[in-house]
Amino acid sequence: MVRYNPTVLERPSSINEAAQLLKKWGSKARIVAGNTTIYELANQGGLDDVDTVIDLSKLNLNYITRYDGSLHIGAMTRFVELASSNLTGNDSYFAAKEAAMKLTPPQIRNMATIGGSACSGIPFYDMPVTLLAIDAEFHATSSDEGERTIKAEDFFIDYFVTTLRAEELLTEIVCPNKERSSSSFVKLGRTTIDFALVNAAVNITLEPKRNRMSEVRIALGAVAATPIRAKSAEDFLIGQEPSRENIIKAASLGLDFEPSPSLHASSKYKKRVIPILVRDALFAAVNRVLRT
Amino acid sequence: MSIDTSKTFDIEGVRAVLIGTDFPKPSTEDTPPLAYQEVLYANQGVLAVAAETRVIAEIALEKTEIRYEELPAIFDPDQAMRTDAPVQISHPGEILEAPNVGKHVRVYRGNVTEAFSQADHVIENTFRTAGESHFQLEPLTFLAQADPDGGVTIWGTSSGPHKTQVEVANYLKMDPSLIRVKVGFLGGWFGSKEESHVAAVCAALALKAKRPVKLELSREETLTATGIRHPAVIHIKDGVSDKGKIIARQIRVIYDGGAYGSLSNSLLNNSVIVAAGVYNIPNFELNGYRVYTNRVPGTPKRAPLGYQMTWAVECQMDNLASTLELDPLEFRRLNILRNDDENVLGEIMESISHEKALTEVAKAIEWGKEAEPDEIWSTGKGLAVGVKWGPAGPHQAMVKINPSGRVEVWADLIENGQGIYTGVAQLAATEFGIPIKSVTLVPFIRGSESETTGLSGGASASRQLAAVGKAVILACEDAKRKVADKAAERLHIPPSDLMIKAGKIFSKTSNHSISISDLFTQASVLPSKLATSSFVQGNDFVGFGTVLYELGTIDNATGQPNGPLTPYYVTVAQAAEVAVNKETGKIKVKKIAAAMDVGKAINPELVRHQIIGSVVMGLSAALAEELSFSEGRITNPTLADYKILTASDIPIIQPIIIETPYKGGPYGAKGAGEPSTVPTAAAVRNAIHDAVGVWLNDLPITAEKVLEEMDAHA
Amino acid sequence: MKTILNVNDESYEVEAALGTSLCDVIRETIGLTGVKKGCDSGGCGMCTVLMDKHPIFSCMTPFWRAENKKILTVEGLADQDRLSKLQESFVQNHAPQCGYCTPAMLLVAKALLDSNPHPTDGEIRSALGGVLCRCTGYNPYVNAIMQAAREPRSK
Repeated sequence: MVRYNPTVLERPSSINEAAQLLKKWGSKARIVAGNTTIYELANQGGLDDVDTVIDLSKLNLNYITRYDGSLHIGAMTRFVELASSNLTGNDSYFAAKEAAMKLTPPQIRNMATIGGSACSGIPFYDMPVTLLAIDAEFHATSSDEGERTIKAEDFFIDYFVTTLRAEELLTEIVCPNKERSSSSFVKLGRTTIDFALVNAAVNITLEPKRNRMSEVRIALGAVAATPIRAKSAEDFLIGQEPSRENIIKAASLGLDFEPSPSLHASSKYKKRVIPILVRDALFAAVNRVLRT
Repeated sequence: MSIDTSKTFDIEGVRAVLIGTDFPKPSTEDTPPLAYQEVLYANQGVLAVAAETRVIAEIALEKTEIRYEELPAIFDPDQAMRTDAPVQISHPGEILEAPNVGKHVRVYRGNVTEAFSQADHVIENTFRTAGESHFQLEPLTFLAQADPDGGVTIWGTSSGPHKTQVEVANYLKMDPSLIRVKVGFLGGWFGSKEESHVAAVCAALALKAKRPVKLELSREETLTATGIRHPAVIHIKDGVSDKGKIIARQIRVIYDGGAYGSLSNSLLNNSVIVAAGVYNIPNFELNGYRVYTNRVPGTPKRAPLGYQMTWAVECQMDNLASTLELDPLEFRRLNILRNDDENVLGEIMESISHEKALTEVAKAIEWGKEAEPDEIWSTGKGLAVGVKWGPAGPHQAMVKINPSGRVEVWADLIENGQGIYTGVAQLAATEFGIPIKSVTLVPFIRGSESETTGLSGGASASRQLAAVGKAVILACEDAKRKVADKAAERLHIPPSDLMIKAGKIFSKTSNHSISISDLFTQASVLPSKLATSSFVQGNDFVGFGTVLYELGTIDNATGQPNGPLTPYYVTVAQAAEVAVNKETGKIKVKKIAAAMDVGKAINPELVRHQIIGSVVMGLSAALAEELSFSEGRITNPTLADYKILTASDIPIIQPIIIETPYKGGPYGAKGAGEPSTVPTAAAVRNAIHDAVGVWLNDLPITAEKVLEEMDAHA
Repeated sequence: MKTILNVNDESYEVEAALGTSLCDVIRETIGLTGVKKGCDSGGCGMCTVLMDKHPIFSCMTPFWRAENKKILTVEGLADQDRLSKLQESFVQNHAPQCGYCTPAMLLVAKALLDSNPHPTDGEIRSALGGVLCRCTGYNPYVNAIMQAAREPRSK
């Protein structure tokens, strides 16, 4: 099998330029962000007819800033930058940093990008499930349609498929900051350095004046074609106190569906361990909120 | 299949093209260089192209039309063994006693049937091990160049130049002396580089292209198309008395050897050695089968075929202990073999230390002391004991003394990380009373070469220090005798009165001495440089040593061997402390104490490191490694899905060296590279039972399996 | 494509096809074979190099991504004949066996100690998480790195 052998390298220095290139080359071009997932795809022969590579490293999309009450993460930000950022448990979007810190191995953490992870459409990746939990918004642009904003629940469509069109470029991910809110990310692998067999992220927000949950987002990954939300568990917790009993009850409700099996974990096993992960994630998020 | 290579050569830059039928028709059961008309396993090599660049070669492979006709295939050894098996695999020169049974061994002693009827309990279990990749970090790579005399020189990842030489010669139907093989440092081995079919392809390409050829297998090719550890199914049926004695043991073991014989037919005896070498059992029967299936062939991997048997036996021992309500350590002590005991093969055991090894490891993890209970994690401790066997065949070494007193060692030694160069240099240095730096270890400088080193089996069966090292010592003794004879002439002192140390020969009783350089004849007509060259001086001070292990074979009819099956037994024992997460089934191994009786630790630090490395390899297979097959195809050929433990998964490992000298070894040493990988899985499995009360009988032990068992027995 | 790469503080002019990895360029074009290729899929860590002090997989990195960055390979650790503190410690503790993973182990250890001079056992193991070793069982490397960390900064 012939490995991919591109002959054109485009290195746009502005987003407009990048968008125009995407329009020009269509599916004969491929974006290189961290080159990690892409490399796997190339090895499997998935990029054999790609002739043009579009390198995004000159677009200055590697940043983490806070303004307008939100966290703005440039699509080319690497996990290592997010992992060493100044996010704390006080931040409602803290799970993003936690997921970045837990991404293994270190070399991939130093190479892979948040945008690449989000756009991969791979359900056992750690960033998609986290972004769904923390209510992220995806900012994309194309030369014909201009800019658009996509909410996390609308972003992930299927295995390997996001809502982005071929000519669209993801530029930024925006995570809203909420008062009295925090989040957490947990994963279960086979060994310490591993993809997730199951992962989960939760975002808990308490009412301003009393300790009742006003918003609960529980996202599960590696259990379906995209990250999904555990609606029953969420609904149960709204208006409730963040007590140990409620958390444990909610965790067991996070199972109103059949998780899809994978090569290394059966549906049955996933069903067994999902409540454990959800419980642990809820405890962590709640503790963070209550500590502030 | 049919391959049309008529257009392949038209591609610019292509220099040689080979298919299976370009090689002489296969005459053995070994994996052919390329599939000969029929492809017998998924990813078997069918076409090889040498070109100016890799990209051109890949294009040539792509553009060559290959048409396959699908034939019926068999993937399950149990089905393969049935008389009505739909597919019968066999190879030239083989006469199979049953369909797809490449080899069958039968050992028996006493009468198991009668003994079972008298036993207080009869307990039967089935245990399974999975296919494993060696996953040595260096993939297979060869470089070959045609020699001016019609021969070919091969450099690369071979585990033994003589083996590769003979096998490539056979594949190419060339005289072995025209095949030259040179092996440098290996990036890990563990049995992975035993097969020679890849080397043969590289050599053939070089001969055809008349240009040097480099053949690098990708990791995926290395993992799927070259040998794996044999998956096995082992049935054990034991009869025990209430007092705790095993009075009868019946074993049936089936190894899935894949499509070609590829070394493993001769390895079946390893299973017997392990089944016979640990416990004292009056009535015994073992039937072992190495079966052909349409899967990638099994080849040796660290303690091949004995590793699988140890898993089964040591798991079964704990099951028995549990039925009898006996402590697993005590139960083993009641049945263990000791020195001077006779085993089921009629061998008198010597230089073993099973009981001592068990005692030491049990002490090291505080056997009997239970940890504080925890809400989520349950802890437990487990034991396992086993044996490893030694090598067979001839091992030759040559030692040359130089006028300065420096010593050259010429032997087939393959450094693959175990420190063999250091170990052998230590031996030679000790023999001559010189510092290690004064030993020239020729393979260290030149690599191990087929033309310049004595015969040996290369780096296999942990033979290098024990057997080749012994040959080196014999060669040293031979050289010293020659030196002593010459010195005796000059000093007029009997040779028995002389000893050699630090480049001089001393009398033991008087203060006469002479330096080695003085013993070399002065050749004044020659330039001074040549005059002191030991080669020019002739063979005066060159010593030779040979160690030959001629082992017996098993007569299935009598069920007994006609000679020893191994020159020695290496005792290993391990104790594991684990914690099991009761909610997820995850296993955390906290500590492993690992004892190995190496006879004599020539370099204790290196031995300890072999223990640690072996334990981790065993642990990785116990908990994570498994080649998944679907219709004969490996479905997890990358590291994303074939999991190997990393640094964060490793427990405290306490290596313990025991020394019960083996009289045939160098200073009593036995081979240390493989044994400690053998008991790890069973020790962990037994510890898990201690922790959460479930038995896992199939490797690998995953969190899912643990949880499933816990749920089933809740 | 032609470009200039900075490897071990030296500039190298390289030319390679666009799809060529940094690993191949370092090994084949520049000729530094301390970087190994164990799996070519970002799984084993043998191809690890430091890029601006961060360990990365060079097999997965297009060579042109290394422009304007500082690449460090194992060949850049010793100062002429003087081994680095880590290299010394590896030797003293007999950490390497076959040596195939040793360049990668040295580099990830260096990256760790440069940013975290006194790591815990757990932190060392995490840092080594992306480098497989089949020979040593890892613990000897961990000990060697711990020992190197404990020694005072050399003159």
